[in-house]
Amino acid sequence: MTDTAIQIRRMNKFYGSFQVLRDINLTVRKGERIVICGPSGSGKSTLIRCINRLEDHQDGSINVLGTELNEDVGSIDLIRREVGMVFQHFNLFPHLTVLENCTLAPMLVRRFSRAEAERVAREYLERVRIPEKADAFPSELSGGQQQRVAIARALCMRPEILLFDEPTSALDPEMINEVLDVMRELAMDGMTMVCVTHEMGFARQVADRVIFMSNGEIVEENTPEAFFTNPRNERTRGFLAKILAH
Amino acid sequence: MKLNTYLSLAAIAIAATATGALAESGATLKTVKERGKLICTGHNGSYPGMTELDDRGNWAGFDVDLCRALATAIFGTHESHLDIVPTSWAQRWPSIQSGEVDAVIKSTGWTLNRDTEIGLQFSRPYMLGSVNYMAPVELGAKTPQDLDGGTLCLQSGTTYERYAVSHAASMGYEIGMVPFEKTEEMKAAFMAGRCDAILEWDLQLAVFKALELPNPDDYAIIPAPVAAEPLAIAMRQGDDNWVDIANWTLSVLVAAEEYGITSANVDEMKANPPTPEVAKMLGATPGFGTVLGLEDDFGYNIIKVIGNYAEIWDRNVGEGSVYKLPRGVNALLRDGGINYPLVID
Amino acid sequence: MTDMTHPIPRNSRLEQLRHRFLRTPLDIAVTAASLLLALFVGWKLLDWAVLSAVWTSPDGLSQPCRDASGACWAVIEARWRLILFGVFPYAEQWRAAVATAALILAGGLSCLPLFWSVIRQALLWIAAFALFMVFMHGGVFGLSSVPPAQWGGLALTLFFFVAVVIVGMPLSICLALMRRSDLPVIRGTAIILIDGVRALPLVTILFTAALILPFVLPGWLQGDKIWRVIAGFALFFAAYQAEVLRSGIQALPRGQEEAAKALGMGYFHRITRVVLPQAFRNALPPTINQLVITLMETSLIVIIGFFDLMASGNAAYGTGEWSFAYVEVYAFIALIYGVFVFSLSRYGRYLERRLRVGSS
Ligand SMILES: Nc1ncnc2c1ncn2[C@@H]1O[C@H](COP(=O)(O)OP(=O)(O)OP(=O)(O)O)[C@@H](O)[C@H]1O
Ligand SMILES: [Mg+2]
Repeated sequence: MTDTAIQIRRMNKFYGSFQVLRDINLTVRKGERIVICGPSGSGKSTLIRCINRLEDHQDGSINVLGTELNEDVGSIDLIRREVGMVFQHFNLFPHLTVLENCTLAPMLVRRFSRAEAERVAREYLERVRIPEKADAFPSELSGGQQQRVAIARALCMRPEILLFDEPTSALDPEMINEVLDVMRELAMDGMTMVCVTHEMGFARQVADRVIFMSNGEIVEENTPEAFFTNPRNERTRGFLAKILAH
Repeated sequence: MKLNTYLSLAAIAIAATATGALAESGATLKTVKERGKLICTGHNGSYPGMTELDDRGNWAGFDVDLCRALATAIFGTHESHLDIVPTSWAQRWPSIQSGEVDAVIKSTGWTLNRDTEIGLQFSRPYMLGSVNYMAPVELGAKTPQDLDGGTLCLQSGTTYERYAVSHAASMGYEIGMVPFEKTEEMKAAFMAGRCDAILEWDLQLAVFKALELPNPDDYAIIPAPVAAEPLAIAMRQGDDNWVDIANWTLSVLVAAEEYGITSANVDEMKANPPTPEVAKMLGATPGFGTVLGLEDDFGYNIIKVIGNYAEIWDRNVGEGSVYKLPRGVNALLRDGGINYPLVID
Repeated sequence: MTDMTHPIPRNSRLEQLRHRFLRTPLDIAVTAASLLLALFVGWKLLDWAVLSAVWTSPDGLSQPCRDASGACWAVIEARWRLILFGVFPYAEQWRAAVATAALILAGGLSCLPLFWSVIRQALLWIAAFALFMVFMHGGVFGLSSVPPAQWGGLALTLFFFVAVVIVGMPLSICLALMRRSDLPVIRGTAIILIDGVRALPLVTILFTAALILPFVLPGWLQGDKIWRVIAGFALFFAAYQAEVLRSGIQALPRGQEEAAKALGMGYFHRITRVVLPQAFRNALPPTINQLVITLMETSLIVIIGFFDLMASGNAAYGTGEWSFAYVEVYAFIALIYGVFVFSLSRYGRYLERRLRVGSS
């Protein structure tokens, strides 16, 4: 039981009267790598944002690392410490240096000493291969570098789970790989990852399972092998045809 | 002005709500004595001759001396028994109504509205704000009638315009009006000789003459007043004792002048009073102060510390000052003015 | 003339000037006339302010000025203590000087990056205010008590300005944050407060605080007039500054707060570490503007009987001896305001340059 990282049961989400997510059931085990794909507007972002409660859900249950997500603010903050997130648009804090971006939350939330926080930060900056930019401001970095800093920032909190929401889709093509490389390494190290991406090469290589969403529903859930070679669902086939023709 | 409307409405509203807490007779004196200090109005800046500040930031002026006289009447001295708080024109009524000050001595005219609706009580006037003409000496005008056929520089829309019109009509002379928007424009026009005379409160004329006209001696204030506004001490309504104290304090100043008592000779006068009246007023014989709730020698203290009316006038606005304002209507009755003491019996 | 057809060399400043101002005979005439006029006015001004000016009067009287044609700076020599300290007791004015210096020093220090943290600012200003109160108000350590009614001049104006900003700035932050709250009650309260206060002219607020409130509030809540007026003025400042800040907050991408949330940072930390630093940076120019306006508006307190810099300036020339010298007094006061406004705007420029490095 304790190796369940995320468990979502019969979850529904509405924006007003508009239903964004329908009857979502999803279980993620610790160490598992999940890739979510699907057409634009299908609810991928909304789903993973429900996992760290950047969005609330109206119906059903979401259990993350044994904690039920509900109105309780205290438990939300607890969950968020353990669940890191990497955004499409990086969302680095522009008024802080790279190093400060990485040490801010660990010092405030995890109560690390400055020395400890900086040691950890430098370690992760090393891992995402930009230790030399520690004292630069985000505006002085390229997109790929910024996204790698964002990953390092999330890692500095030592999270159990990492959520990625299209981490490469705002990047120029030549920068995509430097970010994917970092993500691959994370996957190798056994990080639990839920990843919204259209990088099908990455999905095929890294994912334990691929989930296809359409119109707020999980339409197909499969191993990458089966997903790419023999999709069960009509809509999946259509989507793959479009995306792979690209 | 919107603000003024707001303020007078506020003042009236306050008066209406404050009448419940109408000052009762003797209450103000009691408060002042308990506090050990009289709180009196100053100015937010300077009102030349009446309320100004010397180089060391000490208050000076006619109104200030009256504050001192009142404090001296109560405490025998004003040193450390008088607080003068800077007060703006607009602030006068709320300040007195709220009890922030004990008396408004601030070149304030006695009007119907203030006396009734705003809920104030006035002392006897301590000065007539006499409204006079000023003209170049070379015109040779000795009376307003001598200005017949001449022109008058005026600030349009002021009460002075009305005064001039009705005075000219009743006294049978004609004077042409040259109106201006601003006081400065009016003064400049007068200095440039564009009209024969200007009309103002005589103290303002004296200030203008002494301080702004290049050759003050070339101009003269025509003595006969065109109109007058009585300036009096304003107090909260309902405290008759406090009004009595204000009136008798003022009366002591005038009486002393009338009887020839000055700060220089008051000791001698007290030792050898020429009349029973003087004896009583200076506290050589009892009965003057106690009836007011004061010490019997309060009259002596006022004269000793502040001087008589003539001394106050001279020091602040008269010959002893830069303004050199003649006494005019504010002279004693025997000198052709309207000033007289109340009767001590 | 073939010269006329030559292309203007772009790099020559002189040539450019010549091109702009001396092209046709009319241009030349206009330029010459303006230059002459400027020279004439400049010369007159110089003559008045410096060459023919009277700088000092040995006996403290105005006669030397009356005999001269230039500016009468002797009025400043005779009346400067009145201008700086108003009706503060003369013998004690060193205290007002120390108190004012404490405020100016704190103001200067708070501008240093070393003090750029909420806690340090708070400590700095608490210390400065404590010092100010000890010296200005007295009543402790054997210093005689000088109530606020006797404060005046520059000392009062500065204290008032600083107090309004110190009280008003946190208040404006609260209002701006309340204004974007998810809870309708809190948001509504903020909107009513902000719009309500902005619907009123400042003088009305000052009058109400100074003169009307004493009739409404219970005695123990009234306090001295100066505190009520500071509270009213601070509310006024906060209403405007809250909107300035809100605009700074709204300029932030939504992702900033989300990133902070996703890192597990609580509301307080999100606001103080992520939102406000960026909001202030965005809102820096209008904030400096607001501060300058507020400094100027402090002169309004004269109409509720405070003896501020303007009032003491009025008192400085408002005596028989010096009443002709009002231009000089106002020039001196303008210089004082000018020094503060100039420092503020220079500091704003410095901040903008410095903060640009880390902006998005
Ligand atoms: N705050 C909101 N209010 C109302 N509707 C919203 C809101 N946010 C998203 N939606 C709607 O919810 C649906 C799902 O949005 P979501 O962002 O999850 O899609 P997505 O699958 O991530 O698409 P994309 O690939 O374009 O990012 C969309 O139809 C969107 O219009
Ligand atoms: Mg999305």
